[in-house]
Amino acid sequence: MFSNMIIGRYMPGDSWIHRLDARTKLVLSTAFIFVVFFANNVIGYALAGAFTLLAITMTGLGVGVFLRGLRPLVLLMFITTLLQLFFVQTGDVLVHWAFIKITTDGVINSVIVFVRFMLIIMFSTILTLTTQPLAVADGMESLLKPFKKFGLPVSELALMLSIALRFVPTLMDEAQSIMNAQRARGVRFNEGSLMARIKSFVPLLIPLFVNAIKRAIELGDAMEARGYRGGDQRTKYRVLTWHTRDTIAIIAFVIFTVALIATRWMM
Amino acid sequence: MVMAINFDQVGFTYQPNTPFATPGLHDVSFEIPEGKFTAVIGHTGSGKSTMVQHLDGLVLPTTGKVTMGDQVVTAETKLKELNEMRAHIGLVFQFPEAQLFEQTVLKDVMFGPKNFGASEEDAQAAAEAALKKVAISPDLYERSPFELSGGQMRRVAIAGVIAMEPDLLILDEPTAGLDPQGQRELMTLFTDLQKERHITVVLITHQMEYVAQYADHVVVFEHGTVVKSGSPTTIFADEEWLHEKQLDVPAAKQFADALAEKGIQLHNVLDIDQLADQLAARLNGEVDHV
Amino acid sequence: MTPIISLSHVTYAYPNSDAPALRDLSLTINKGEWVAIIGHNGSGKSTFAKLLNYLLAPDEGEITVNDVIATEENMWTIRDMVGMVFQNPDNQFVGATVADDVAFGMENRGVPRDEMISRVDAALEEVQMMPFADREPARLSGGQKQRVAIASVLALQPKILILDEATAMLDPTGRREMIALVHELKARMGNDLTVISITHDIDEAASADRVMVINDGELVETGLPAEIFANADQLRRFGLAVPFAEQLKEQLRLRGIDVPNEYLTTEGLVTWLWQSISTK
Repeated sequence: MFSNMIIGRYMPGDSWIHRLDARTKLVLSTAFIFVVFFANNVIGYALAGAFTLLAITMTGLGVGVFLRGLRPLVLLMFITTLLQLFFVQTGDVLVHWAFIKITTDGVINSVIVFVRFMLIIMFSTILTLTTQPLAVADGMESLLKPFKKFGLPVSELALMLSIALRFVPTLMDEAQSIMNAQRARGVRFNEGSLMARIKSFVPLLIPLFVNAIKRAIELGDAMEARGYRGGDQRTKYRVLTWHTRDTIAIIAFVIFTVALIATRWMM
Repeated sequence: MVMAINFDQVGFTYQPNTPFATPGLHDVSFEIPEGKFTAVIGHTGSGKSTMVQHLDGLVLPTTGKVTMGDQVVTAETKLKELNEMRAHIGLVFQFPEAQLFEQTVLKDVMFGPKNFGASEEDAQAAAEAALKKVAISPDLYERSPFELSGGQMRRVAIAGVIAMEPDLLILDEPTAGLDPQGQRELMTLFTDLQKERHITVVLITHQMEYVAQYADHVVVFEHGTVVKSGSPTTIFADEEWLHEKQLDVPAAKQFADALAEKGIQLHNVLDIDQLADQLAARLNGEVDHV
Repeated sequence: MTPIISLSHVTYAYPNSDAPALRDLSLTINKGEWVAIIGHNGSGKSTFAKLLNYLLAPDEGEITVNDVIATEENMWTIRDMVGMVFQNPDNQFVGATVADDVAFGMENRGVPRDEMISRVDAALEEVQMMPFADREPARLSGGQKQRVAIASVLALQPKILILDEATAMLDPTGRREMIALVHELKARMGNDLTVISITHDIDEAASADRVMVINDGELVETGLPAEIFANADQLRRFGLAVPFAEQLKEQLRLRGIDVPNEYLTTEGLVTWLWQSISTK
């Protein structure tokens, strides 16, 4: 059941995008979410689309992987688009049947929302597919460093995040084997009524929880035994290094942003 | 229920049709004789555990078919048939104590039988019998399984499988992590059970001592397929082959081989009794020198 | 011989338990020694390991590590000297990659980054895990994870290495490789490394210079492996395994053969049998 989740999974590679600093990718994918709103006509969206497609092509992973990544979100996208279709009531009326009224503005708006949604998801998927989760954690720590001054335990949070990430595959395996053991004892997951389904997860969740606590206690011992006591005297083995390609990526993105703003006057 | 098992050209791929697709098994064909003790050996990652999941319908073969009694399992087999099949199969996973979850020991052992349709009374009777078999005393029945010692938790979990009164009992390294006495007790329990109830037992193990001592039949896995099967004597006869496969030889056989190097030839030594018998005969001068 | 660890009258009971896990334990381990602590599950061996680096504090008695008394104030000094490898390879892996894990202990001690890099490399080289430096733990075998755990300890340059049932969850190949690795380390570092292995693996215990048997929280036996292993009845009484050669001797004795009383290794017994049979 855990095997079909592709979204958010790191896919190893050696492309230019893979090698970009995590901070660059974090900042740019966040910036993209806002920048995309500058597009207000066909040319703007075409430009944003082309830029996204270029970035995707450069990952060397193939567009197919990204499209598959969209699959779990299809329902969400569909609903949002429909809402636009029904709630925007200005413009010429195209269909009027009982209480349903679809207008030209509604159609245009829903198309825009759909395209924007897709672009944002595709662009953030570039971050998760080409960056090791650990590097994302490191990047976040580095970007959040200024907040240390305000008492935010940035290093501790980053260590917690990196340990949590490191345990994801371990706990997934464990969940799978507990599930197998309970199925062998006659539990039927994903069968029957909603109540029955919820109940069937109790024999999975309790052992998973108990074992996770046991692991946490052992890990705590292991960390203490190796001298962990938190605080600021810790040094860091892993450092992020800024390369020319990161500067290039940022410049390219700035040019894209300026161009996107310019498209607003093109129609 | 008849429980002879046959694998016919079974192949299995993990996460098929994704970029993460990895082959698990290929061209697996072998038989597990009914009512016998079969040992499955092979390197870590050789495909043994994937094969075991096929035995209980936890995964379906991507290609080929598995015949278990009169049930045929293929890629198209329906969930309902699998559930019926599972009622007759007991599976003890590695570190089975991880499956405990109920409030009391007794309830946890009753869980399996009840899922497969036993009444409250029948389930309790089966649970009590199983707990007795694994030597868990009645004063622990109402305790939380999480309060028990590691060894006791392991035995309660095994009782939870035995209580289902399976015709096929599959054991995936059931003694891993136990101390020597705990290991001995469990192995005795399983062999007694097999003899008493004439059930089919499949044991996955790294310990060649167990294979030599208990198994009627051995299946060897490597790189996701079966590379050899036969009686323990046949399997352990070709030592060079075993070394090539990075598999161990039982201690008694190793000892006999060391003697052979010194010129003392013994015949078909697999366990310590055979070794001691032949050596005693030699030392008493009953056999001529070779 | 200089003692590096000494316990005098140490007692420890876990909170909420009626009986102490360890009772009145007194013993000395010398610098450079390899000591195996054996005992059945729940005998108190792991409690003993945790007391040695102050993961647990004794209720009574005193523990000294390299002339430092184990107390709250000294615990970080003690943890600098005592490195520990635990049973479950998964639950002691802190780093998201092999190299990160080895670096973790040094990060905690504020080791400068340049020095860390060279020490990570050296430690990984020592356990032959250098090609795996950037791998994630999920992609390693149990044996490989434990070798990384050893590297993580070695990078901290400890005086004492404690293996707390570190081979119990490994397959036979992993177990053998790990014992061989400790042999190598011992051979290279000699008296600079003291090894304490808590185990019920007979082969692991047989490699030690001295064996201590703990049963129900008490130290019941100390001696050379040969002395401890020769007493099969006693080993069984303590819930332990009996070496194969000793099992065979017992079986031969049952068949009326007059076998030597002293402990024999497999090679020793083969030689004895060969001589006895040849002279027949």
